[in-house]
Amino acid sequence: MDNRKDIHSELVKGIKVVHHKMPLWVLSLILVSVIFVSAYHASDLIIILILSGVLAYILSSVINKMQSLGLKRKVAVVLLYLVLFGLLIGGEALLSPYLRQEIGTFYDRVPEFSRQIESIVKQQSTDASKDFTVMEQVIRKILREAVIPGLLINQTLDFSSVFGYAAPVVLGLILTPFFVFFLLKDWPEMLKRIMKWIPPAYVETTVSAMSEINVLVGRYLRGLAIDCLAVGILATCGLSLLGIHYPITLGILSGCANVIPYMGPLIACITASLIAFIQFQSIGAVINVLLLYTAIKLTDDLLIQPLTIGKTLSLHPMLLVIAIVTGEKLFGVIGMILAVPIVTITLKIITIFFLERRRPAAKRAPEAASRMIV
Amino acid sequence: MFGWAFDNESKPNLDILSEVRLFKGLNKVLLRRLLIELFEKEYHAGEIIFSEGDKGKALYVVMSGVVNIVKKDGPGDKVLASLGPGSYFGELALINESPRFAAAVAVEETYLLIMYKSYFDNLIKGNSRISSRVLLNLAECLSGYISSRNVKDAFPRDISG
Repeated sequence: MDNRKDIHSELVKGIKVVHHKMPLWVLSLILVSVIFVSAYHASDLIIILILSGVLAYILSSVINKMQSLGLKRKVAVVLLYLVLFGLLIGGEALLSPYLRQEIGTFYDRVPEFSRQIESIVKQQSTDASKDFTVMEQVIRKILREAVIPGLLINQTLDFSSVFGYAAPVVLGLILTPFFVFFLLKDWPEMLKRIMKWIPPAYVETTVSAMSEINVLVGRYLRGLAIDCLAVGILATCGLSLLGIHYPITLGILSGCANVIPYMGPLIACITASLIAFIQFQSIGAVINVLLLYTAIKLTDDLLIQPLTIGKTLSLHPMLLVIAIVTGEKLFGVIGMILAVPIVTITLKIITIFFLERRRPAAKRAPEAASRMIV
Repeated sequence: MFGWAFDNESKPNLDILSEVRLFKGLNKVLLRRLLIELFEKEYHAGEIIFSEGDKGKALYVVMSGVVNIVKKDGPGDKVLASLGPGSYFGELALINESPRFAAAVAVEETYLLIMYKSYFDNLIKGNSRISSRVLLNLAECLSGYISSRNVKDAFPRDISG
């Protein structure tokens, strides 16, 4: 016991010495730098953890419903995994002939597409004024960085580059379901431990904020998932009706890209327009695709989003763009997708903790009514 | 045959929750949902759950142990009520976050379920079956307090005697 006390006093002394030598802002700066450096080096793992957290969050409401029917939580999680696995296999069996064919031909024809577009662009740029070279650069940039994965264009595929791209994906495919399983199964126990650590005096403030965040974030993430699914289905149906090639692939791209405000729908629209242009070699087809994506965007903004996400997301457009660009710089495409949910959640936490706490409490209830009620 | 798949451990808690006046009339599925989604916290003897004048944020349900509702009375404190398993307190917080009229103190090892206002608001918006029943029960309780203005009526499970 004495030994423990000694260690404790030594530790306190040590902290005091460090504190005397270093101002608080230096310590904060070091801490922030360490977090950033670790985040940069372990970015793959952080992305996997964030993705797992988001998925577990979305699926937790299903688990809660299954549990409220009387099932053990562990059993509910295993059952859900079996159902999802079944759906995956069923979906694969139903869609894979089309999807594999679509992705296979799309994958095989990417170099051909890029050559076709480049030749069209080159031909037009020699015909038109010099200003067109800017347009060519933009199209090349979109082709290289957003539409067609850069590694497929004019690049020889060596083993190390393939491994470099594939390793995080394989790691993610293995680790994400693993993390999600344990997050879903053990979350109530984790919460109990967190609650044990919180001193009684801070329970109401801390946990009421947690509860508010839980409600808001849950609504936002589930809304976002439904919104993306709806946009993906609309895009697939619309493109199929227009007779554009690869409707399922483009629909999946449109749904996923929809998470990124402004840029996401734009990237999906440009991709579909390019495919339509190559397929039909006419501006009419491109206009049809543009009209389709405008209609989808309007339906999304006016009908789907108000019903699914609601007004939980009200970020300034400038902040949105800064978040997306920073996300892309830090973690690439996944960073772009996760940037907006992360900023929204952070802002909500700040609002709840710092702004709403300053609001004065409601007026004291009338004495007669509150005499026996606390 | 599939007994192993079902949760029997939560049955005692479910029985207590079914006796809470505020949740009267809710079926087992809805009660289990509350049991899953509400926060749980254990308090040691003498720990203050909330103090008089604190901004009310949550309703508490006593699952085990005893909680004293204490009001400052001159130099000392006056115990207004002692609440045992199946009782609840702090319900005004669900309506208007008004400051706590009295303090709540754990008398012994106490296990509480906590329903926060934000959760309650969400519940009202999202589940009409729970919300209509709970709101009706809450209105009944509040009207009971106002008409009786009596501690014993307000806390029927008062175990102080």
